[in-house]
Amino acid sequence: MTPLWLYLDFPSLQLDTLYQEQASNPVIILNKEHNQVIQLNTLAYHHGIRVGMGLGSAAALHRDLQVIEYRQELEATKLAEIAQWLYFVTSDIAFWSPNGLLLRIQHMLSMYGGLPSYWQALNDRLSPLKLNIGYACGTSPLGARLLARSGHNLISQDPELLREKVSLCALEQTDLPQSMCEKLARVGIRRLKELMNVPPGELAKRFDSQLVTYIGKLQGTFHHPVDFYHPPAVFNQYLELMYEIDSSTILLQPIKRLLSDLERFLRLRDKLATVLEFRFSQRDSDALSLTVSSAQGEYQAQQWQSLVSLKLENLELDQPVYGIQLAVTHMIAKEAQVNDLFAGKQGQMNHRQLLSLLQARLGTNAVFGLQLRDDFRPEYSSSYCRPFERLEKQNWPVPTLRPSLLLAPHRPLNEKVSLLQGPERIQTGWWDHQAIDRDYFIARNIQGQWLWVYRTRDNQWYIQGLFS
Amino acid sequence: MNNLLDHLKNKGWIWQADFTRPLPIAKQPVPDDLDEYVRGGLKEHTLVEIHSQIGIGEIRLLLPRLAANGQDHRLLVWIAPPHQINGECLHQAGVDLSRVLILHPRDGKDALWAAEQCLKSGTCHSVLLWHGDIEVAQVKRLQQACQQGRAQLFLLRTRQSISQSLPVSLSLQLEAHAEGLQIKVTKCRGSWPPAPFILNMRQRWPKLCLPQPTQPSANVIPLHRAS
Repeated sequence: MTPLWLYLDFPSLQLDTLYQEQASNPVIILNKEHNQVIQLNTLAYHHGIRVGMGLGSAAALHRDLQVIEYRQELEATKLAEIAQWLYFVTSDIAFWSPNGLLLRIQHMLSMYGGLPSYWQALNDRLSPLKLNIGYACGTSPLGARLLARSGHNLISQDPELLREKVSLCALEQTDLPQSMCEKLARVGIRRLKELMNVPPGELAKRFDSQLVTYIGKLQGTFHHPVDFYHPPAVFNQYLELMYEIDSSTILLQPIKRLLSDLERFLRLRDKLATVLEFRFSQRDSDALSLTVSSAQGEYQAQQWQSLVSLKLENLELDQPVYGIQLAVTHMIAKEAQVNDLFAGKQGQMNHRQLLSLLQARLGTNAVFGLQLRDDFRPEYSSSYCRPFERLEKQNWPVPTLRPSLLLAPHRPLNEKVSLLQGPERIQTGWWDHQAIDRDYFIARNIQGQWLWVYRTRDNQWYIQGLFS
Repeated sequence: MNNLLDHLKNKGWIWQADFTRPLPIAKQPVPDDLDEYVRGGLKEHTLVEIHSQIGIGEIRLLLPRLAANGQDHRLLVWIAPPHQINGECLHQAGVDLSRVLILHPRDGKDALWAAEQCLKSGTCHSVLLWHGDIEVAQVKRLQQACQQGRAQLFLLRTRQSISQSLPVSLSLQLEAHAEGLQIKVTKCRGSWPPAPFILNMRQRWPKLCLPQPTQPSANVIPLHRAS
């Protein structure tokens, strides 16, 4: 399969991220280092401002000119966003700093059934972003870039046509340094055609290696290494609020947006998040962090929202919040839930979802499970544990009748009771320094309460349980 | 031919109809100790209020019901019990401990919230809630949650807190008795409350009943001194 590349050039990326609507004033993006206008809106163009002008001449052309400093990191973030967005329709995406994306498309064509329908799908994806785009196909990455940046906007997979278009390009349009272009111009070479017709061996004799490599890469005879984009493995998103929020209940609205982004992120990966970490940036104090967890893992925004709103009820904000960051570092694979079709409706939740809900409001140290332990001491034989820690049924016989409620700590027996059953001697635990030596009795007091009492070796009487 | 069938069967590629699991048949209702006294017993009432002193057998009254409810492998939730729950006792009564949750909420408000969530989630078969003062509107909400999640709520209250009549379906007052419990039904939805009766627990809990007073044996013939 012959390689085919598509280059997307975003000549006014920073401008496009700043303004979604038509601005009323001419706006330019100025590169301060070179004192050059590098991006401008149509209004500025109509007033005669052009790319490459200095600030002085641009300002002279319009008195209400709005000048914004060029920031490359803004463009990089935006470019990453675009790549993530395009990843839904095309697989091999590479960044070309600062404002281009290179797509390897020959593998995608058979999936979409041809170049026109592929371009249609890509274009449908790009158009809602409302970006200024230059695009072109090419047989090599550099060829596609060259055609895209020189405004060809050409979608074709005919190698002859693409080669011809490339060969007609002027040297100034290429990525070759200015000094080399001038040098070549002096020997009468102004177009790529004149270089491409020379055999590589001849070219190497006459010119330096930089030019030879460039022409080789352009024609596709030299390998051009490309690092392809991989979507991020963790979810980390920051949302800057338009206004400061000082009530924790209103915070839920912007959080909803983050959660729905998270839902999309998780659904595409078929994963569940177990812990969400929120960081609220506050105006005058340190960022506030909030952790929301779900025992069984969850991806649906709706479910997370109910857990988060429970947490927010208990959150005290001392300062207004201006930004929210949501990070999800731990994700687990989705497990199939087995529901018996014939057992009827199973309710809206499963037991782990219920557990997450309870733990979110009551706290993790207020929810317990119950387990038996292989010990004869009543304090140890039954204990509270983490909920659903053991799911197998414990099947050992309990020695004899035991009370349903246990008192902790044991209460001294200060009333008159009648002993009705017993004694049952429990004398064990010598191995861990918690030895007991007691005679247990079942007793009933005057009110009719059934007590589980014991007598220690030194004749002290205590109540340990109630046969409730 | 037979070899081929065996081969396919071993691979698990064909199956015979008698290997399938039988469909669960509608469960036979487990009879209740209260059946003969109260219409519908414990099982027919979704919200049961129990006024009792702690330790006279109020949980033992419920244990058979809880074990029977737990046959569908849903959860049993204990909310704010007055003391620690003993797993051995539940295990003896046939309750699956891996399906037990115990909650200790900070206050009564959280306890009611937790009860409502558990009841309406559909994952719990029964909830036992110890709560002192509860209002009519709250009981109505819990009642709705019970119906939504097909769960049963047992509301345990001390005897001191009898103040008003709540919209529960069954309300019992328990008193200690030598043979088990003396039960007074103060409210029973759908019928007149029966007269107070004594529930004999000797059969289930022989060790937790007072020894029967020794009857004078019929074989002994009292000798009357001839006058």
